[in-house]
Amino acid sequence: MEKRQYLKYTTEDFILDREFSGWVINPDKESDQFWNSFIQEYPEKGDLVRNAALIIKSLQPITQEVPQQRINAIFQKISQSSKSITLNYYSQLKYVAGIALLIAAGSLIWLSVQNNHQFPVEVASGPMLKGKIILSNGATREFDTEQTTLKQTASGSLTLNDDTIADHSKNTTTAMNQIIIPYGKRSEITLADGTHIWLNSGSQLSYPSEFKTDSREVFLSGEAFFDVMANPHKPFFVITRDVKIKVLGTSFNVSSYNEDNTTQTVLVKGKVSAGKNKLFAKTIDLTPGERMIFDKINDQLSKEHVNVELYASWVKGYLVFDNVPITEVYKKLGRYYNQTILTEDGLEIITFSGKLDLKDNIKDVLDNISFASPVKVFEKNGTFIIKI
Amino acid sequence: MKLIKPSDTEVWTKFKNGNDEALSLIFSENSKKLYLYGLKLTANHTIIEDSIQDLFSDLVRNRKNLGPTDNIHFYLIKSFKRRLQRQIQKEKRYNLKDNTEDYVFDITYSIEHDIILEEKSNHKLALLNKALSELSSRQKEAIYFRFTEGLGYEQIAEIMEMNVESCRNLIYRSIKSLKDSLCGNVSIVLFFLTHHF
Repeated sequence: MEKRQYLKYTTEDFILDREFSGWVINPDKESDQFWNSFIQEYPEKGDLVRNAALIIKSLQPITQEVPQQRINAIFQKISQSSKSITLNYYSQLKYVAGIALLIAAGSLIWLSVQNNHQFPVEVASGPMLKGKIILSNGATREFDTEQTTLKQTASGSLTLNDDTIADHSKNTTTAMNQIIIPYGKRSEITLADGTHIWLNSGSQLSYPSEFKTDSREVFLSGEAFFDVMANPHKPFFVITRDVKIKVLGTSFNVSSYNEDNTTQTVLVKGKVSAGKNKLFAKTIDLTPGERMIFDKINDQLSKEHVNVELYASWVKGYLVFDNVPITEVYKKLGRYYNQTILTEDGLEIITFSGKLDLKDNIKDVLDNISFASPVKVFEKNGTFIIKI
Repeated sequence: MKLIKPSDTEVWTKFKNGNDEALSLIFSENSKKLYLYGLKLTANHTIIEDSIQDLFSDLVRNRKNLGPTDNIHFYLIKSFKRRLQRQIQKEKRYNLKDNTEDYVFDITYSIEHDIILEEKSNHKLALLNKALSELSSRQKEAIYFRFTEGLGYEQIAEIMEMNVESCRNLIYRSIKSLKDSLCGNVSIVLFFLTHHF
């Protein structure tokens, strides 16, 4: 707008002018230049303009806090209510999956009060399709999970495909970085000590940009396979919401999804001891080929011999099952492909054994299962329905 | 990489056609604004949250039959206000001791918080603050829609169930009373100046 046109403006006119109020509330380079030169050219309008600006500023309400977790919970309810109405909206479940992490994080606040270790709490803003890193300084960075190499170097900097995204070398505090993998995606990270971690779908890993002098601690929710670099002077701890695992150089798999009733640790090689994530908790030693199960419902720890290949196979791109309820198979596939797979009641009595190649598309994988088991697959609006 | 924000019409059409990414976008862009607006009408978080949930659940349920819109926020806030007010009325009926005014728009302006400026403008702010506190609930609400939500007269009139001309007047009179409070200041100063010298 021409500056001259503003000459006959009253204070009220200025206040109600969109351009003017826009400048006062949210100035940018262009509007700053325009209005400052206006005041310079027409100094007699200065008082009027300043009063108008003062009034607009006074009309701004105080910044109020909105409980983001409550809002996330509302979104989850909306997604759920929509699925109970018609099948068309089942595909929304994948967003619920993204949000379920947040809800779980919410309940962690309470849990951390009782637990030995404070579980890092993250409150993200919404459903995600990409992996996300929350750096210790609060900055976030999204990344494509498929072809990404994350590396935390010993000097304290974090690189993503060889680009440095955070440098803590000058920083002496040990703040936490957090990696979040959405459902349907997977990623790998190498930590400063050379430990390699494969993160499965829907998992979160928090780790300090620099480990403490006497121990290495990481926090996990979801599933991960660890290949820990041996260092007897600096034990490695994996801490989940309810289990704490002590490692002395080894490879093992931890599955601790909040929506599952159990937290499982399977040891491939080396030695770990694990116990509940409580002060003075009793620990169980695991030898290779053993699985420790923490049952969240009965609050009990137990261990048994298993075929480790069944638990670590996802890292190599396939899933192996041996006589497991077929509903478990669909649950894992749903997470891995970020797909909604609905199973008919009564299906859990069918068991499945076999190897599934995860490089195949979901449709082929499901067809392979129904070839070997007495189930039928139906597809409706992007949702798979499994019936006997 | 350049991000191009899709238009409201586009996002709305996608949502109507069952696109869940659009639902997620609409929710994340509006839920916080609705919540903040709700806090001006009631301090009861539960009924604000219930109203937001009802609003979106109904949208999802009826998504195929929704009319078009080129301003999603306006569309939502209009419906949200109706729902929230119904809840507030219901609440009042059960709470007989509650004898507050029928309609309250409870807003705290930021100047009430940062009057730590220099003495001279401090006095100005105090006058402005007083004038703000004298605005009626309806005036405050209309101003909120205009200056915080950025809505136009037609839209504000529709939400507040009044005609466009009275809405324009309501806002204009509010602004004028604020301006007069400042200019009154000037004349008082002039009065003192002329009487002391």
